[in-house]
Amino acid sequence: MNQGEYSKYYLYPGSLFADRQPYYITTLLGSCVSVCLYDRRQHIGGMNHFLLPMWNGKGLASPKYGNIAVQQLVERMHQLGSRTPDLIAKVFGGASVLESQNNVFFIGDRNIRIVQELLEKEMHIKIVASSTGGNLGRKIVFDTLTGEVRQKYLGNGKT
Amino acid sequence: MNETTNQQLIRLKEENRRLEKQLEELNKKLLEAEAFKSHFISNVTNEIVNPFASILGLSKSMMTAEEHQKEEVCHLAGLIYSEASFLDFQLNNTFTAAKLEAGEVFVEVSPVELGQLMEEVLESVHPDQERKQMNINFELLPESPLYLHTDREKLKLILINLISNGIKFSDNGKSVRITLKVSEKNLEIQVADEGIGMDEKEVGKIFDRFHRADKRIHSLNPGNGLGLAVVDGLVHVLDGSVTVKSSPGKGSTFIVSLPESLSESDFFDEDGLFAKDEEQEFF
Repeated sequence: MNQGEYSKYYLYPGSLFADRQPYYITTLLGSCVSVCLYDRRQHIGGMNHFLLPMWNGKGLASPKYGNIAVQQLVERMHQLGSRTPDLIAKVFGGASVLESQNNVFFIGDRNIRIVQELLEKEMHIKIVASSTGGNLGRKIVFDTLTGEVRQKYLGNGKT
Repeated sequence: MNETTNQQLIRLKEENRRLEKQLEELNKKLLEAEAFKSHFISNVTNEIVNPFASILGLSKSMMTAEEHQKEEVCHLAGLIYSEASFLDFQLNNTFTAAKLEAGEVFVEVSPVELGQLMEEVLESVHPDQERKQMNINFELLPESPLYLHTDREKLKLILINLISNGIKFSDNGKSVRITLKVSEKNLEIQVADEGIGMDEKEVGKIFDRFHRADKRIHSLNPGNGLGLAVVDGLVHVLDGSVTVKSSPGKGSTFIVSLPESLSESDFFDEDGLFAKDEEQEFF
């Protein structure tokens, strides 16, 4: 990787980012989930970072909800000229970073399940790699030119 | 049979009481809303209609200026600019307050360079500063260019409100000191003035809408009392906190702390993901 040709983007929780230029998109994940979409034909990519599985239909349909975040990211890739059959997905996060969360809400699990359902069953975009669950947070960097994602576990769970 | 009727009666009475109470509460809220509305309208009249009248008058004078009066025209244009900026700020505050009220404020995060942002902030408070011949000291720690990921426009409005507040409630020729301190996990903003200050009772109320600490000052200073309510609302939207230290006659210091304002270097550190590192995995 020659870092000089790349721009860097820190992805904030509840937002998404995709661009035609090569980027290193990075983010920190705990129970949150990120989907990295990569276009094998155009060699471009985009990523989201959502906090909760489903938008309940109230308030703004914000990409902090999984179903919205996945939909909006795919739409954004389409705007950049991507075709669905060229897209592949890599999924990260969904850890159980809090004990209580682990037992009661299963937010991490639900976040991952919504992604699988939407991407593979509804949109027919294949998840080619993933690192999900567990109880450690993750730091990931997505290279949008090559589609490669680097991951490092964090000592303490975050977001 | 009798017993059931009795029980039903009791239930109905309870239901009645509950509904009465609800009605009372709704009535109270309606009255509050009504008071808010009339207060709002009178404020808007003062703060928006007056600058407009000035702008109209000043531009009319400009239109009738003779060809040799270039200096005069420039002066008038400066006054119009300053009135229009004030109006722009007031409108921005008013709309933001309305959106906060309706719960329709959403955060748009982008990389923000603090030094550049402060330049814009200081430019927009410059007319007030000049009018009152105030000193503004500004310190950014650390000094190197810093990118934060936060909502630029909201941070800007917070800063402008705090600083113009400091100017507004200080005597001519005094100073306002601004410090922006960036640490690993937060941004701390301090705005300290040498103004009239407040006692404890007043401090508790200042973040309420339209509250002005002292009615006497109302007549002397422009402003609709929305500023600090907007600051408070925006700080909360950005997940931060705001506190104030103040004593009468000695000035006030507002401290805003915004979390998760991360500098880019935190994520692209040399020993981070790009180093040869055993823990690192590839996907």
